[in-house]
Amino acid sequence: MEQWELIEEYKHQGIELKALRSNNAPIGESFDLALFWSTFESRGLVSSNLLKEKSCTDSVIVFFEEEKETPLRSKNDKILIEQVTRCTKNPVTIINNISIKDIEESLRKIFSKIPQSSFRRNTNWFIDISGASTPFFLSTVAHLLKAFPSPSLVLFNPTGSYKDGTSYGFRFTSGFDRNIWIPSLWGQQDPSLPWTYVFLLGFNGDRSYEVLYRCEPKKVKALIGNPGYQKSYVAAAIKKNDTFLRQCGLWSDDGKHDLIMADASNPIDSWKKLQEIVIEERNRTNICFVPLGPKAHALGSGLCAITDGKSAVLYSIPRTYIVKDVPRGEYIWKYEITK
Amino acid sequence: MPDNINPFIYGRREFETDTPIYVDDTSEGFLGFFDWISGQQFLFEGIRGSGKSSILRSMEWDVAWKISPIQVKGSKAIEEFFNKQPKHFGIRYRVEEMDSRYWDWWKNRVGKECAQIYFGTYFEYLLVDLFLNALIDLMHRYPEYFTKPDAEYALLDVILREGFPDPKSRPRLAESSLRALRNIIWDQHSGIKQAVYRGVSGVAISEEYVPLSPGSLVRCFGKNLVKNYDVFADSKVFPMLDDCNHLYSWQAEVLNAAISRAEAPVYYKITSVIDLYKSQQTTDGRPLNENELKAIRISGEDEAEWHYLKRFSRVAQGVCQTRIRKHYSDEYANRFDFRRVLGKFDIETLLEHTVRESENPKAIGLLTRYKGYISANDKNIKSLTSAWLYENKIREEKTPSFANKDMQEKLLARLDSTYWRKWRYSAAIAICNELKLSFPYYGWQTVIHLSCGSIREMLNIMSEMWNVSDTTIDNFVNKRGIDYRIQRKAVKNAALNHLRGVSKLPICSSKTSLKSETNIEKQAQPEYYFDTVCNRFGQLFKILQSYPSIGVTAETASIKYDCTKLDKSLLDDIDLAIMSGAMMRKEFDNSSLALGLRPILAPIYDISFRRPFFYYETLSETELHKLFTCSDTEVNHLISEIVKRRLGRLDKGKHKSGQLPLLFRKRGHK
Repeated sequence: MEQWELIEEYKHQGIELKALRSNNAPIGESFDLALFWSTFESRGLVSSNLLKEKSCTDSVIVFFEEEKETPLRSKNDKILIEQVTRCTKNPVTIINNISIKDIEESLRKIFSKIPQSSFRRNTNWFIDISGASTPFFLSTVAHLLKAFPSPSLVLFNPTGSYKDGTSYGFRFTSGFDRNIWIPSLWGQQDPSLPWTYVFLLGFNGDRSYEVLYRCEPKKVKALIGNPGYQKSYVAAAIKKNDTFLRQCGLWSDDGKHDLIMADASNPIDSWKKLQEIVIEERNRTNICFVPLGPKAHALGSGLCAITDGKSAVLYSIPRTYIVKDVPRGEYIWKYEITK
Repeated sequence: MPDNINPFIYGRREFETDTPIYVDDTSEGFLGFFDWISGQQFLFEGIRGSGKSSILRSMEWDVAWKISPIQVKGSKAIEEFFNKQPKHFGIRYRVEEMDSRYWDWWKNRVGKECAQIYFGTYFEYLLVDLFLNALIDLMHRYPEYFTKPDAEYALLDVILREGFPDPKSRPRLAESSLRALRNIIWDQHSGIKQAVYRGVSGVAISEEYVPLSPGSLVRCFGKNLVKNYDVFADSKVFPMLDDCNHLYSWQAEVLNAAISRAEAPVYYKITSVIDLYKSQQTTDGRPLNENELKAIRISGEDEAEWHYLKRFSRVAQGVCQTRIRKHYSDEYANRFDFRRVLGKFDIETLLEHTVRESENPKAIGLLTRYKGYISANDKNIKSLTSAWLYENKIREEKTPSFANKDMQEKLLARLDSTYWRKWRYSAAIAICNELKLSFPYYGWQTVIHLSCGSIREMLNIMSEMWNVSDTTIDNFVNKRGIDYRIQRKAVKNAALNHLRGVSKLPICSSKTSLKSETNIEKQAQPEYYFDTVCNRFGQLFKILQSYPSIGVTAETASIKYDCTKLDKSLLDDIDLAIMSGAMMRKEFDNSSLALGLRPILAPIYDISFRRPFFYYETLSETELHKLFTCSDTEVNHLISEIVKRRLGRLDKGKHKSGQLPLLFRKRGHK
C-alpha cells in the first residue's frame, strides 16, 4: 500500500485526531519542525527515509546519553543524521547529552534549543515517536497543544516486529528507577477523592506490578492491545502481566478476565475507551493513566488527559532500557492532530 | 446462600479496601483505640500490611458519621462508641511518593528555605480543603445539626483572614458559603502544586502566593469549627497523614513544625513504615518530644513474645470474625474461635507425626532410638528433640560446669521454659532439614508468628487454610485444630503467594556499582528480582539453622551489616525489600543493622518462623552486595565461605551466643 489510508478520525473538545495507515507511503507534507530521537531500533530510521527532501524547515535530533556507546546506537545515529539532513532545509540542530531519566531537566534543555521560529501560533511539527521514550513525546504533544492556539502535529509510529516477542524473557526495560507524573500531564486532582489507576499494559509485567505495589490505588482498570501488532502478542501481554492481574483481581484461575481491549496501533480506539472511564469515574475518583504498552495507547491516554484536564499520566522510569534492534512491522502509522 | 465462599478475601481491589475494620481497645501498654482517638499526637509505625492505614481510617469523619460503607468493629465499648454522636472530626491524606519527588526537584532549584515555606503553605491549604469538603458534605446530609445562621459565615471569615491577611489581596467569594471558600482554597494548593511542577522560581511563586506558617490555617479551622458549630462543641480535630515515609527529611521538618505548634482541638496522627520517617526535627532544628508526637510501633517487634502472641491473637480473632460476619452471619462469626480452629503448636507431637509418616529410614531410626531412651528411663532424654541434641552433641557437658552439685541443680532449675522451648524448636528445624522433611508449621501461635504483625498476612494465611480445607463454613468454624497436613500446605501456599507478590520487583543495584564501570558492562550483568534474593537468603539461613551450624547459635535468621559502607543503590534495594514486605530490618545503632526475611517466607525454605533477629551472622558489605547482585554460582560459593567461617568459630570454641550450656546428667547418674 503506497498511499495513506484513513482508518479513523475523531474529534473531542476541540482536538481532532486522524489515524492513517500505510505499508510504505511517503510522507508528503511540509513541516516547520521535525523532531527525531536517537534509537537502537531500526524502525526509528523509517520516517526520515520517507520524508520528502527538504520538506522540513528545521529539524532537531535528540541524542540520549544512555547507551550511546553501543554498536546499535553508533550505527543508527550516523544513518539518522544523514537522513534527517537530507529532508531538512536548514542545518540540523543536534542536541547531545540528554538524560533519558532526568525527564524534567531534559525537556527544558530540548525546548530551549529548538529554533524559536518553530514556535508559532499555528506551528506545524512532525514528531517521530518510535525512538522517543513515552514521557518525552507525550509531554511535547501536551505542551504544544496547551501552549499554542492552533498547532498542527503529525506523529509517526511504525509498528514493530519483535523477535521472540511472545517469550517470557522478552522485555524492553529492566529494573525500576522511580515513578513520575509526565510533565504537562500532571492533572488536577481532588485530594478528597481516591484514585483509579488505568494501566495500559505492555510486555513488561514487572513494571505494572511495581506501580501497583508502590501506589496502591483504590481502583484498578487495565487496557490491553487487541488487535495487537501480531495476533500472538495479545495472549503474550496477558501472560506477562499475570502477577499484576491476579493481584488486582482482574484475572482469575478460571481464565476470566476484566480487561478493556483497544487497538494497539490506533490511538483513537484507546482514547475513546479511556474517555468512557473518565465519564464513569467523574467526581468519584481521581484518574491516573499508566502507559506501559504500545505508543498508540500512550498517545490515546495523553489526549484523554489533555481534553479531560483533570486526569494525570504517570510514567514508571525503568533503570535501564534494553539494547536491542526492533525492525518495523507490516504497517506504519501517521497520527494527525489539529486543534 | 452458598456456604463455601472464602470469607477471608474479597478479590477485586476496590472491595478489599471497604472491608470492616477491627480495632483493639485493650491498652496493656500498647495503646488501643481509645488512646489513639485521644488528644495525643501519634506516629504509628509498622510494617506493610500491619494496619496503619486502617487505624487512621477508623478515625475518619465519614466512618464516624456512618457515611462510608466501612464499619469499625471491636469490643462492646468500641461499638457503643460508634453508635453515639461523633466527638472527633478526622480527615486523612495519603502522601504521594511522586509528589514528594517533584517537590524535592523544586527544592533543588529554589533552595530549602523557600521550598519549606511553600510546601508548608501548600499543605495547610490541602488539609483545610479536605476539612471543608467533609464539613460541606455533613452540612448537606445532616442539616438539622447546622441550623445556626451565622456559623458558616463566621468560619469562612476567619479562615479567609488567616489565609489572606492583607485585605487588599484577599479573594472575593462568589457567594458567602463554605463551598465558595473551598473553591478558593483548592485554587491555592492546586496552583502552588502546578507552579512547583512547572519549576517556577521562588520569586515568581512568592509574588502569587502568600506564605502560611506551618499548622496555622489548620489550627484556625479547628478552633473555629468547635467554636461556631454546637455539634462539634467538644470535638477533637484530626489532620491525619498516611505514608509519611514518602516525605523527604526537609518536608518532614515542616510537618513536625506544624505538629509542634498544634493546639486543642487539633491533634495530628501520622503513619510511616518502621524506621523510614526521615526526621523528627522541626524547621527550627529542635527535635520533637514525646508529648508532641508519640511513636507507637504497631507491629510489636520489641514486645515480649507472650504479650505479642496474646495481643495479636485477639486482633486476629476479631478480624476473622468480622470477615465471617460480613459474608455469612453473626452465628458463624460467634462460633469461630481462632485458637481452637487452628489448634496449639506442640512441636514434639508434631515432629513425631512428621518423622513417623515420612518412612525415611534415618528418620525411623531416630524415632526408634528415642523410644529406646524412653524405655531405658534415660533422664537426659525426654523428647525426640533432646534425643537428637544429645546424639549430635549440640549441647552436652562431659563435666559439670559447677563442681558443686547443688549449684548445678540450681542452674538447671533457673533455665526457663523459653530457653528449653527455643532449643526444642531449633532442634526440630535442624532435624527436618537433616532428614529432608517438611517442617510442621501448625497452630495459632505459628500463624501469628508467620504474620509478624501484619493483618493482611494473617488473612492471606487464613484464606489458604480455607482453600486447602475445601469445606463449608459450618465445618470450618467448628474445627478443633485443622489437620496438620492441611495447615502445612496452606501455610506454604500463603508463603508462595507472598513470594510471588515480590517476585517481579527488580533489583536495582548492579554487580558493578561498588566500583565505576561503563554503562555497557552494567547492562551486560545479569539482572535479578527480589524473589532470587529471598531464595538466596532462605538458602543461607536453612544451612545456618541445620547441623552442624546450629551448634554455633540456634535459629540464626538474619545478617548483620554496617550500613555506612553500602552504596546508595543497594540501600535503596534494601529499603524497597522492606517496604514491599520481603524483608525486615532491625537497628542496633547508627551504623549496625540486621536484615532478615519476613517470617511468612519461612515455610518455603523450612526455616524458623519466628522474628529473625534472635541471632545473626555478620557479613561484610561486599558479601551482602554479592547476595543481591551476583550469579548463583558466586552466591553458592559465598554461602560455603560463610558457613566455613562460622564452623571455624565452633571448632575454636569462640562462639558467644549468650546461651547457658544445656547440662546433661551423665548416663547412670541420678
